[in-house]
Amino acid sequence: MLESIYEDVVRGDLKRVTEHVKAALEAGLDVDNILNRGMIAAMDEVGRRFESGKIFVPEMIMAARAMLAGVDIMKPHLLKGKAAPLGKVVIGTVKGDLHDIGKNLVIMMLEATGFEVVDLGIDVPESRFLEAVRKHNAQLVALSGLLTTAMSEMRATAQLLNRELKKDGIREQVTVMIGGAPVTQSFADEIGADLYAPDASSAARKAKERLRKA
Amino acid sequence: MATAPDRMIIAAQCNDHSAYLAGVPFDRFYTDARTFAKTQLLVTEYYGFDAPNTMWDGYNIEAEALGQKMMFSPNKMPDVDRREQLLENPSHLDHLKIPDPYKSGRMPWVHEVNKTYIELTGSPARAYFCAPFSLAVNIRGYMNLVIDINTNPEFVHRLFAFLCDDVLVPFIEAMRHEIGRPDSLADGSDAWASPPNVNLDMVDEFVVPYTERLRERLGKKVVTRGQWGDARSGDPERFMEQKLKCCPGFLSALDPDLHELGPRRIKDFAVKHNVRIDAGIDATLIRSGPIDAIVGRIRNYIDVMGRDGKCIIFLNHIPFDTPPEHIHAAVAAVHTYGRFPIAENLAEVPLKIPQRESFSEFLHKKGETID
Repeated sequence: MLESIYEDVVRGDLKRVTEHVKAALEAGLDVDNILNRGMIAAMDEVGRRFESGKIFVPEMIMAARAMLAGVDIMKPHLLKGKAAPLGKVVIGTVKGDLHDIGKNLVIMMLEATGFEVVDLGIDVPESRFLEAVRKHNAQLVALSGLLTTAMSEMRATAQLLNRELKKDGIREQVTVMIGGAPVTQSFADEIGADLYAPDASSAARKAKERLRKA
Repeated sequence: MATAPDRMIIAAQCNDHSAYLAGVPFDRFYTDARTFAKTQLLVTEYYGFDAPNTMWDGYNIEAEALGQKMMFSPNKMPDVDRREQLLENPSHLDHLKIPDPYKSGRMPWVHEVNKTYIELTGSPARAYFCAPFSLAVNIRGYMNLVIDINTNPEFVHRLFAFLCDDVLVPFIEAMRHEIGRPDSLADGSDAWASPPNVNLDMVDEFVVPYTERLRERLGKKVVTRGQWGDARSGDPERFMEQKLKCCPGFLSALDPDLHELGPRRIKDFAVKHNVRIDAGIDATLIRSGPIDAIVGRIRNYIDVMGRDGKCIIFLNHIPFDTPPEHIHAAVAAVHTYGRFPIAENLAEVPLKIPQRESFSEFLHKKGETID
């Protein structure tokens, strides 16, 4: 049963995922197992295949969509059980940039990996990122942008987060991650971000690795 | 009879940089045809590009004319407001109003831009358009379109047929009519149709056939290009063949893929298919430099791809705040290393990058102003 769910997610077959998850729950399979060994493991495989160039963004979208449909069915059971999220992420596209596709892909992959995600949307001013990190006690804040004009906003946001979270005494507990077409690892280093991810799959993988280390 | 050029050509897409350099607010730049055309031509002259930079925000015009909500701002290029996609669900397709290619959105502005170019240069203008796939993304949203392709392909084909027959064909015909050249090249931009945003089977089903559909209706001089992602395609040669179907005669090979795959592999493919290469230099490299790296990349591309004269260098969308000295260096590199016949050992060719005045000093010397 778990193998079927795993394969269904990898193939992005939403209909079969929902059928098999329902069947697994009715058969009394452990909720954590369905989630971790069936679906999150499948998304890890999808991420690996994407990063190695075997599949493309459309396949990743279909897989994440199938998995999230499965999670929806499991939600009542997850709330009753002990399956806790990996961590909480605040994410948004920085001020002046209206692009949301990369951000939405990252959200899908983060949720599919087991994170709880707070989506601030697009055109997000720096102060809102800070407010959201404080309000939600987020362990990770992700800044997205597609335009080169977004780079200066990203810098300003990272600097504000670094400064204010340090004052709060929680800078070490919050990971600042950036991503998007115009940015690079060296730009992340330059602005004081902790992580750079070139795509949605590696964003989820790096977030997971980082929080595991913490 | 035209004489053969004595050196390689460098061209650029630098509309945002032009507006920034000239101090023109972006929302005005993209709505005031005379300011747009004049600024672009002056910036072309300032840098010494070999072809005028005539491109507008080519992904937006048709979507806006269809009724897609847009965002205009003084600080950046207009863009589709992705919070409110025009086609929220497939049934909306039946209620879309077909644009009037002479009246809708900024289509009249495009005609005015083209006429202004002709007036100012005496040269013909080009009919730029947004290719069907990228246009579909702009009005439906990328994720929605991907899900549609996988779950409702009949709708997607109906959408693409509508975009070709009712939106793009009339608009291209109107542009050609307005510039008095029914055979003008219609040049479509299709950056969305790029791996990993699409897989190659999607290109076969949703990209190539609709470029061919436009060609069937408008004649051979229709291309769609601007696709990147060769290095992420899983099969670069297959993808390059697909690109040639969309743009016969020349292969658009853009950084970072060109750099990642290496110019030799791209050149071998181009030689095998007897096509010219448009070699696109990385926007990030142009913006961030250093100058030595920009010059080194261009020298390498000329060395490997330019010796037979079948290559031009193209600066991919110059970011707005790129230092002008980086662009002057790129132009000097092409004009020095690209002199025919290409020198045996380019490393021994001295490169002198001219110390240039600022753009405002250049305008002052010319007695020009941009109001």
